[in-house]
Amino acid sequence: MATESSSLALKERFPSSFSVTGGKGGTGKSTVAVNLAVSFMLDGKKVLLVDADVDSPNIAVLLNVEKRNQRRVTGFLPEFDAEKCTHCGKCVEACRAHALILPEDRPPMLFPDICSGCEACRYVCPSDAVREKSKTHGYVYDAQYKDIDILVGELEITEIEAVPILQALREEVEKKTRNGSYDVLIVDTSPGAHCGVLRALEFSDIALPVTEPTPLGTHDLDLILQLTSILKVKPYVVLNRAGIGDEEIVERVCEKHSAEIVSRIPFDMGLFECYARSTPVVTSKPDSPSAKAFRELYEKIRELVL
Amino acid sequence: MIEIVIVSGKGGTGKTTVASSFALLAKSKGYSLVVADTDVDAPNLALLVSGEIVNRKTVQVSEKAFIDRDACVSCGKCMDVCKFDAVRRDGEDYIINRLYCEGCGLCQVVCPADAIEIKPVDNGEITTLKANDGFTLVTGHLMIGETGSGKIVSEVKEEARRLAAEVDADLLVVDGPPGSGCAAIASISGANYVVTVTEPTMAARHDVDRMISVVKHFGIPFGVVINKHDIFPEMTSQLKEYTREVGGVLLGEIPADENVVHAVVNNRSVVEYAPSSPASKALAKIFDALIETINSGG
Repeated sequence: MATESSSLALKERFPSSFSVTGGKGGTGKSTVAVNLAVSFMLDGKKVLLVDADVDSPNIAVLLNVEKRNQRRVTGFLPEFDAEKCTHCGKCVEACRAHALILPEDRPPMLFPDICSGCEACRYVCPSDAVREKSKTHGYVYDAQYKDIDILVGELEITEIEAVPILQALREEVEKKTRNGSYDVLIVDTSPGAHCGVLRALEFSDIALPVTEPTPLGTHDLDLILQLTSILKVKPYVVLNRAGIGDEEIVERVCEKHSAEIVSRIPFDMGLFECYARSTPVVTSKPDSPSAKAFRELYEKIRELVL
Repeated sequence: MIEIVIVSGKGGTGKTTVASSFALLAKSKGYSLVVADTDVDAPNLALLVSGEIVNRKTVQVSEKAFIDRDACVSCGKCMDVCKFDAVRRDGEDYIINRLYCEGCGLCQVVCPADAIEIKPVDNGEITTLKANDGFTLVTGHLMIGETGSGKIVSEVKEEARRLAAEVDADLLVVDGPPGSGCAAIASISGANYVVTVTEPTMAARHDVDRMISVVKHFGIPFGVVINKHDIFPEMTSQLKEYTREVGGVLLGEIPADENVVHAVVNNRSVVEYAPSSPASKALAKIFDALIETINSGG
C-alpha cells in the first residue's frame, strides 16, 4: 500500500526571541509587546519589534510613530490573452479556489479577491494564454520608536491572503538579524489560532499567550495552548487584568497544558489610560501597579531569552 | 429576514457583549431570530448562552496535498513551485507540511509522476444550539492552526440562513471575528447591515477605519457603536466626526460600566445579568436605534 506522506515540518526559530499571542482579541497582546520592548530598550538592549497582526497592525499606533519605507508585497494574478485562449477550460478546472469561471464565448473570468496566486492556471494552460499580472497582497513598513526598530506587516484592504505578508516579514527579519545587530526579537501576532497566527508563532520557540481571567479569555487560552503545543513552542502565560475575575479557571487550563503563569498584571485604570492615548505605561506611569508588574515580567523574560 | 453582522476591526472592543445583548433584546421584543457566531478561531458566544446542542457536524473547509511515496520520483518540482513553503525535503522523500498546505493543487499539476493527490480534510465543526432563551445559535469552529477561516464562516452563515428561513425568522444576528481579513470579509458578505463596535482608543480608531473601508467596499450600510465612550472623550468626539465623514450612522454609545466586566466574568450577557445597569440601558437604546435605522432604510 502506498504511504501518504504528510507531516508537520517545523520552521527554524530565531534565537533570542519571543512572540506575544493570545486566542482572544483585546486581551492586551500589543500592550505587553510594546511595554516589554520598551523595557528591553531602557535596559540598553537593541530590540527588533515585529507587528505580525497583519489585518489590524497596531504597534506603530500604540507607540504613536509613523510607518515609513512602504514595500509592496506582491503575488501572481493571471491575465488571459483572448487571442491565444482556446477555451479549453483547463485553467478553470485547475483553480481549486474557484476564482475562475468560463463564459461561453470569452476567455476565463477572474475573481481577483479569491485568487490565492498559486499559478496553477498558468501551468496547465496548453496555449500559453495566461500572462502574469501582479497583485498587491499587502505591505511591509519600517518604523522607529526611540532606539527600537519596528517592522510592520499590513494586509491590503479587502485582501484575504495573509501568508505572503508573513513570509515577507520572515525574510526581512532574516536579513535584519543576520549580522547580529539585535539583542532581542519580539513578534506580536494576530488574535485567533489561524494560519497567520501559526506562521507568526513559528518565528520563536517561546510564546507569551496573554489572557484575562474570564470564561471567554480562558476558553481561548486553551485553544492557543493547543497550538503552541503542536508547534513545540514553549508558552509562558501572562494573566492580564488580574483581579477582575476567577483566576482559578486560568490556572486549571495552564495546568492542563503544563504552562506556567509567568505574570499577573493587575487591572489598572492607569494602564488603560496609557493604552487609550498610545503611550507605554512603563515610561508614562512608572509608579502604577501595572508598570511594576511589567518590570517584573521583563526581568523574567530577559532571563529566558538572553 | 434582516441579517445584521457585528464587527469591530480590533478585538476585545465588545462585539460579543453587543451581539448577545441584541439577541436577548430582540427576543424580549418579540422578534424571532437566529444567531450565528462566526469568530471561528475563538467562538465565544455559546459560552454565554445556555441551551441544548441539537446538531453537531464535522465539515471539510479546505483541501490538502498528499504525496504517494511509492509513486514519487523525487524530482522536487513540487517543492520548487509551492508558494506556501509547504513542501520539505527529507532525504529522497518530499513531505507536505499539513499546517502550511493551502490545497491550491499546483504541486499536483506539476508532478510528472502523478504522485500527488489533493483531498479534502476534516477541519471544522458546526454546532447548532437551541438556547433556553428561545432562539437558535449556530456556531462554527476551525480546528487549531487550520487554513480556511473564510470558508467555515461562509458555511456557518449558510446554515444559519437556512435555519432562519425554515422558521421565517425576522432577524439573523451574526457575531463577527476580530480583524478585517478573510474571516471578517466572509462574515459581512451578503449582510443587510453591519454594526461596528469600537472604543475611544487610538488602536481601535485605527482598526475601525480599516474595517469600515472593507464594509464600504462591499457597499453594505453600517452603523457605529462607541463602547466605553466616557474613558477618552476627545477620542469619542473624533470617532463621531469620523462616523459622519464616512457616511455611517452613530447608533449610540455605551458607558464604561463595571457591570459589563462582572457579567463577562460570570458568563452572562449584561442585559440579563444587570438589566438596569447604565450599560444595559444604553444597549437597549442602541438596539431600538438599530431597528429604527434599518426600518427607515438607512
